[in-house]
Amino acid sequence: MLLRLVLQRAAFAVLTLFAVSALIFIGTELLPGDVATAILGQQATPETVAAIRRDLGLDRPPLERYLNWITAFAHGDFGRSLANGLPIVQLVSGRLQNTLILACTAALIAVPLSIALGLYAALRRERLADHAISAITLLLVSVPEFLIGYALMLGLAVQLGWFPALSLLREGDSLLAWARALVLPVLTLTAVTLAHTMRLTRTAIVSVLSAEYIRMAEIKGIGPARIIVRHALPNALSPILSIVMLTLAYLVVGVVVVESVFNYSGMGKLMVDAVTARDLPLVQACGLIFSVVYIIGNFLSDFLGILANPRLRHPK
Amino acid sequence: MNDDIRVADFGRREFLKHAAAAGSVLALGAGPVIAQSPQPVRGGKLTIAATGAAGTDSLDPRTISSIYHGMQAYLYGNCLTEMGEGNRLIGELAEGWESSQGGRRQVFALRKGVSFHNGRAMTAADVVWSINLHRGADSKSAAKVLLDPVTDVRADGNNVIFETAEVYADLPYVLSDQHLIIVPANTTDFNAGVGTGPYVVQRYVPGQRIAGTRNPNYWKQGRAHVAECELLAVGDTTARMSALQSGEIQMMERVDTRTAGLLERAPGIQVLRSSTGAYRPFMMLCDNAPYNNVDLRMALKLAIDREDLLKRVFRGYGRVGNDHPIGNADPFHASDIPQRTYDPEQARSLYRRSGHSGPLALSFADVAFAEAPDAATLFKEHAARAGINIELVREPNDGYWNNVWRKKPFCAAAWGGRPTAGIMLATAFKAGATFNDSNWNSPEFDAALAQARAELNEQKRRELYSRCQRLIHATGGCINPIFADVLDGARANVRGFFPGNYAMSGMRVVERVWLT
Repeated sequence: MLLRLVLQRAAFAVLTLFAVSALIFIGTELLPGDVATAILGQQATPETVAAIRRDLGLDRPPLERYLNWITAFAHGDFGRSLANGLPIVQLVSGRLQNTLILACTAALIAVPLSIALGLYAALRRERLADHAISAITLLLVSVPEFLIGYALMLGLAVQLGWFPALSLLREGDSLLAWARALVLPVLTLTAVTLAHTMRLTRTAIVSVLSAEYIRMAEIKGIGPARIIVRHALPNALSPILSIVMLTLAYLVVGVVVVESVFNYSGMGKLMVDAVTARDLPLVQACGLIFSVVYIIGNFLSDFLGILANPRLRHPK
Repeated sequence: MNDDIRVADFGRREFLKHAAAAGSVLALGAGPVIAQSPQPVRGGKLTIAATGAAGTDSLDPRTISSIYHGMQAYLYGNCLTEMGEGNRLIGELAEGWESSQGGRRQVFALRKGVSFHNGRAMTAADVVWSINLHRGADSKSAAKVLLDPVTDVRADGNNVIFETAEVYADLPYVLSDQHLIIVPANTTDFNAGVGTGPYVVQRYVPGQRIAGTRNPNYWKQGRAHVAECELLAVGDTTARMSALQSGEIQMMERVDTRTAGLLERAPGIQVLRSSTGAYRPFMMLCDNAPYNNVDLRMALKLAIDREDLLKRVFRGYGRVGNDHPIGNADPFHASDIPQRTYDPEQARSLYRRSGHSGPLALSFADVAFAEAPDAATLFKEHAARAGINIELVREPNDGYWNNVWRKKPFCAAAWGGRPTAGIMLATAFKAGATFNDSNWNSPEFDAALAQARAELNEQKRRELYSRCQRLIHATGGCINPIFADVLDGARANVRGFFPGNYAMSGMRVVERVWLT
């Protein structure tokens, strides 16, 4: 049962990746300009543009270029950047690591915090604490993340000077310096992702709380906190896990804005640079990595949901 | 060799003659008065945030296309010549130069005892190789066009000989261009950043940062004061300003004119203004209807209120232009041409005489210059009072320079200053030149320009260049309302800065400033 699910998912994932790669290719083809005009900018002359195109094979028809790229990719060759000739793997690896550091740190704080807040709001439902938590998280999710980022920067970096405004992870710097650099982007990401998981946790728990077995537990005299953690949470776990997985995927994929605001060198900034430079192999690599993260996130959320809920394991 | 001219001496004489005039101009500019330490201070770490880097960058000098890239190049490299203080040309890796063959051969004598960071001595062969990187039909370098007049470059002992088909008096200036830094011959791994320059590259991460330590064997006297320098790529203006205010960086490139006033009032911060000759024109294609009509072109030139534009859009950071490209800090600026002013009545009558009716579509994008959308909107209002209907067309930033500029008949453009008036005029106004962005064709202008560039008598040269500017002013397709100041930001403890021909002291700021 589980094996079949995994195989089925894997097959769909490969198909999705093909579709994504085709879409990315068409998208970049539709943009005005190419890598040659992007490199030369205002200094472009017809001869220099033609020289770059000839050099990079951009004078070939689009379909041929796509097929060449996808064949190489299928053979495990990510290719080289059109803009600077470096291997894509080399360009991407450090950036991916930085993005994962940021995403994991944010997840380690945001996920437990939002679930805890959701449980607490469910416990105190329709009371002041519940309304306050709802209002604050809703407010945070409604404010665009760049604004939260700039507000934190202005307050904590420029005015108070506690943390750096530029999030630079320099190799060779101490762990403390890295931690300080991560504080502002992590706070921003926590603020924007808190509300979803918090509200879903609260809703899932509250809906379970009206079930009869909860009433039974109450009659037995079990305290409300214990009821929620021991009896309600396991049955509400499936939707919570899916939202957590989607949040994790968002933290990897959706950090473009936060990376720009704090000048954090991650995948998001690399992809923006690659699109600006019309560096197709690099755009493709970034796009596919993002897709893989999303597909894995989705798969894990299904998979864990089934594990957490025995009823799904034995469909009628 | 009786016809030899010492160009270096000529440059110095020319500079002294105009230093007084330039000085008064600078005083009028009300730039920041930087208290100069009497003695430069050695040591410290200088961190600068600049724009125009990308994760797809490399240190290959042929790919330089932004201020960030230029600063990277001058961090580890030197050119043959340098635009020094007061935009005066001085020798850098070339100690001196002279011309012969009626000016068609120029010989550059190299400085002796200069070595690359890897310890190897710099030779004429390295110079020839570095220059030839940018030459040839297949060249992808943006500097190709500057070297097109050069027919041959060769080493001759410790000299490098340049042959040109015509007299190319601007060649020594061209050789100070950031693309033309000297690297070891047969370099394959450009990203190692080996040069003869002030700082030895310790770490280069494309699109993120480059860090260097002072070159212990640096040959240049009185330069490279800080012990360490680091250049950070920070594209976001707010991030750069925040980092400057919090003291994480000591200097930032490109202060937004809209927030420069606020930054100037922040404690411990100075805003550094440079009049680089950069201008922000609206270009008309003179061979496209209806802009092929001189009356219509003149009507539009009279229908823009330059003072209002300078005050409201550029917040006073600049000077009004007079519809030609030579700024008043340039020694060849024609100051005797009366300043064109806003005259809606005359614009109206010229517009009527042109016989055109209907809206005129003006294309622009942020990428042309940051203030372009505001400037175009204000221009529309000014022109409306002369009965001229300008229709605003906002174009996408991507591909603007290829799909809009030089293609759409009426659009916003941006020009950085060029090292000399001759290069500026030849690049943008000569008939048939690649970057003639008005398709203007004036045989009279071309003749005057050709004469000027080959003229060795300074007074005659000045008259000829004056005539060139007068012709552009009268009939050209360039509405040049503004010479914009370039604005950089620095902490108060940054000393020794002087304006150059580009932002950041001509992009050479790392070796020029010190920290107190």
